[in-house]
Amino acid sequence: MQRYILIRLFHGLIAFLGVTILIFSLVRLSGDPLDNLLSEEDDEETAQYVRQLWGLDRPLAVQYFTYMGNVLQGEFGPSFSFDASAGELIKRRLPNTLLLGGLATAISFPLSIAIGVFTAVRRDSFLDYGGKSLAIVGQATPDFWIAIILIWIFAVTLGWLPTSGKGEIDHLVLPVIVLALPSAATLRLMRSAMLNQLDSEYVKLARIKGLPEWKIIWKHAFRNAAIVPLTFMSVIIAQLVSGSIVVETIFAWPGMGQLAIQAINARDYHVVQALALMGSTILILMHLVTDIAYVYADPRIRFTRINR
Amino acid sequence: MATFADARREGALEQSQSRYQRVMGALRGLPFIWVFILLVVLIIPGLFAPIIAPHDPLDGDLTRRLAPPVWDVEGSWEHILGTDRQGRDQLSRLIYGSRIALFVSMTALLISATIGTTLGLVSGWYGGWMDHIVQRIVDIKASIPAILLALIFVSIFGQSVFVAIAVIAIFLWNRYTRLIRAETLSLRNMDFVARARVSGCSTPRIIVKHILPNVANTLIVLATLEVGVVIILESTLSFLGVGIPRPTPAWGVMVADGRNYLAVAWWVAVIPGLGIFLTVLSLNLFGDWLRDRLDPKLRQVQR
Repeated sequence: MQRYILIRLFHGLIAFLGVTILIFSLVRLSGDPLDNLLSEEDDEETAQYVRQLWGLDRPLAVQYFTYMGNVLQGEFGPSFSFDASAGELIKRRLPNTLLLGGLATAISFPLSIAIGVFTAVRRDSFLDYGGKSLAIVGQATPDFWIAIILIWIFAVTLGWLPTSGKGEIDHLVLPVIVLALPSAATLRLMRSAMLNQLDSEYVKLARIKGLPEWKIIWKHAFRNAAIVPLTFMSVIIAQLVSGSIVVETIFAWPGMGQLAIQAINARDYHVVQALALMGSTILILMHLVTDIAYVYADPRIRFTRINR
Repeated sequence: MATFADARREGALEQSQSRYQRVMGALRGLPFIWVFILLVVLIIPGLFAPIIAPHDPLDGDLTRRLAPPVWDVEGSWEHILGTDRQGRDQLSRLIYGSRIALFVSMTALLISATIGTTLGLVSGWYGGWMDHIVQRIVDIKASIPAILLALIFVSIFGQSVFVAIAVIAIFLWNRYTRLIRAETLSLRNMDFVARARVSGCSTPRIIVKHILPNVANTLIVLATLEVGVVIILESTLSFLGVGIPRPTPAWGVMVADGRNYLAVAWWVAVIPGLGIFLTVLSLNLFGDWLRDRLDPKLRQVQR
């Protein structure tokens, strides 16, 4: 177990190094960073200072570590289009993104797990077919278009909800719905995991033994089936990161996703870079947490999952 | 009494029947309606856009801005699906959008399938260090969200069709690697591979001539199922302004263009999205059918 976790941590570290080196070299490819760091009016003295601060006079490998050192201290460099540094901007925007993402997960995850269990128990029922059709339709619909349709219906035509922006609680409704929709994939996953469990020998035994059905479902089958959506968590988080860029842009929500698009339109390299690093780090951590949680939940898996 | 010729004729009939039945058998359960929609929405307009499109997709008639579609009381047959804010014919733009979707998805698919298959074959065949290196590359790839990767690429190389294709290709190769690696692992130790080796085949020859044909079905099925993913990703990037640059009529760009006119001209944003939806839906259902015919074991694979 410990060995597994150590190896997994090591892999996570390699991924982190790989991602940061990749982002670092991609950004360096784009030209002399001094051009971006300085404005027209800056004199040679400032240039010298900036060059030293970012270690631009030293070899690339050293520059990478200087850069990472700065990044780890939350120093991502100045922003050209906003009145704050990239780190400051992220700090300001983070709570908004977390609010939206947190609400979406808090609503969709338990709900889709519950419905997944329900549709497995009531297999081939009306609800089951409904869920299946919705899954097929949902897979083919881009989130940005769902958002547009919802705005068109509920904000523009019916006028029940605001079209965009941050404000009262009603501003949250549409963005949270759109952000939560993709994780409905958990529902299908939970359903098939549940069906597998309900089909197994121990469930039959429990039935013969005369256990009440709710106990079989929730205490026996569910506990074993719940591992599957757990492994799916990292995929959901990846979707949330991408999804929040789309949702925040459409609903003019002042979070990090909207910041990413604003920064790219202003060619604000430091901000883009900082956000890419943030997003990637979150994903690496999530993969790590999922994999480790998975071993705890199912001790049969030690090494088999290392090389997926 | 039946003559020899009769018997031959009957034999031929039987054979032709069985051939007919074979064809029908192979097509059993083919979702014709979705194949039809796929042809109408994506493939035919994609291939023949300049012939079919009634108007120029880029040149608008400013006197006919935001004209409604034909079923509206104010609509006309001149612009069957209406016009956008620059008076450009929506139907023509949609048709040219199919061409973009087709081109981007095919090229991105080809590149990502090539990268992914090569890495999968190499890591499955050689194992050991090679495998470790490939797995770490997969890890790194899995750690960068697609849209953020697109943002970095666009911030460095600018916005163009080829940057969009590169981003999509880089983003989607890993599924091929995972599946092809697993298949190669199980094929590697089979007898026919050992026999090929004994009869003097070189390693590259074994991989290309003996392993690759055996993973071809998996590859075809996976590629078909990925087209929909590519189209959604491309349209999302285009919608956000980091995919296909304006004024090229990509579907995502069209939805973005119509965003601010929902109150006065809903069709500008809604109809192109319907195009994406129908295309991806029919692609997915066709892919499901193909999977069940060619490679049922892929059913286990999450989509």
